[in-house]
Amino acid sequence: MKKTITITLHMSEIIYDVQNKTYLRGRSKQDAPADIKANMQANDDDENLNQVLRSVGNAYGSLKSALSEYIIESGTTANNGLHANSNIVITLSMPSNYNAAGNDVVATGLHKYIVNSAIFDWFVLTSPGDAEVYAPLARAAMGEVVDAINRRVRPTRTS
Amino acid sequence: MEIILTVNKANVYNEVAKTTSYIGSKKESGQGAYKRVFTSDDDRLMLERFWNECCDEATSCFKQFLFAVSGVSYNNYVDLSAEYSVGLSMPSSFDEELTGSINSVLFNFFVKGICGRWLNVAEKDEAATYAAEAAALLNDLTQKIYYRKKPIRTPV
Repeated sequence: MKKTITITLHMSEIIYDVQNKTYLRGRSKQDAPADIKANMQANDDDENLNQVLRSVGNAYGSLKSALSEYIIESGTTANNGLHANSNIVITLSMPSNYNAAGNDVVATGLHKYIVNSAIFDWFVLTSPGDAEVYAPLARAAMGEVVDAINRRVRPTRTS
Repeated sequence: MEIILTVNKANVYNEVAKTTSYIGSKKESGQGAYKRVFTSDDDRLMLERFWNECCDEATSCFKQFLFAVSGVSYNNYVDLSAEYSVGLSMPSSFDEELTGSINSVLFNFFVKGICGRWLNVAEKDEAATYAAEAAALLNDLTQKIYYRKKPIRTPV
């Protein structure tokens, strides 16, 4: 019997994480000119937020593709992914021997993948030298998700 | 978020007069130096150009955020009622608490900038110090304008 797991990624958490990481990265660049540092730090202004949401939408599309074998339903489509107050809901139909202990790993891995992908896109525009760090981080997060998705419990013998 | 910064020309000229008066009075060459360095009311027409140059320099610093700025005027009289006023449309992460400090730094920049330019004409030995201080204030202004608040996490 299939196991259904539902993962909710709160958009506010994703956006905050992107803003916080870009803020900290900008703040840590001690010798950079003030305007360069400021431009690295994503905020809630329309041009900033729309770019981050676009990147989140793109990353979500990649996720759906990677997990398509298991996705049976999604609460968010590519179009409404561009709303800051909507959440990403992914429902997966997993085999009966799926190891549910990996649920948290899947959730945090999905979050990390989306955040790192969005930061990569953001820094490509605002600080190209910093961007290259985030593509491997996104790939690693995707690897964690795939690894957790593919974990299985050993069969139990019924007497 | 919109902020308005204003610098009053009469206040700047008064501060320039105080500063140059002090510099002149401390000069060992005595009364002659005082008369040369102190910016009297008669010198204000000369200061007009320096005021305008400072206006342009400050505007250049603000240009990324500018939505309104008072124009500069080149007249053969001194309009002490004039102000340098600039309207800035700042990002949401700009720290509004810094507005007062920015305005204060801007005022000091005008004073030092005009003093530096004036001293370059009247007392070259002192000019470099004031020009450097004006540059440092402009840098401080830039640092404050581009300072960003940390993002705020909204509870889920």
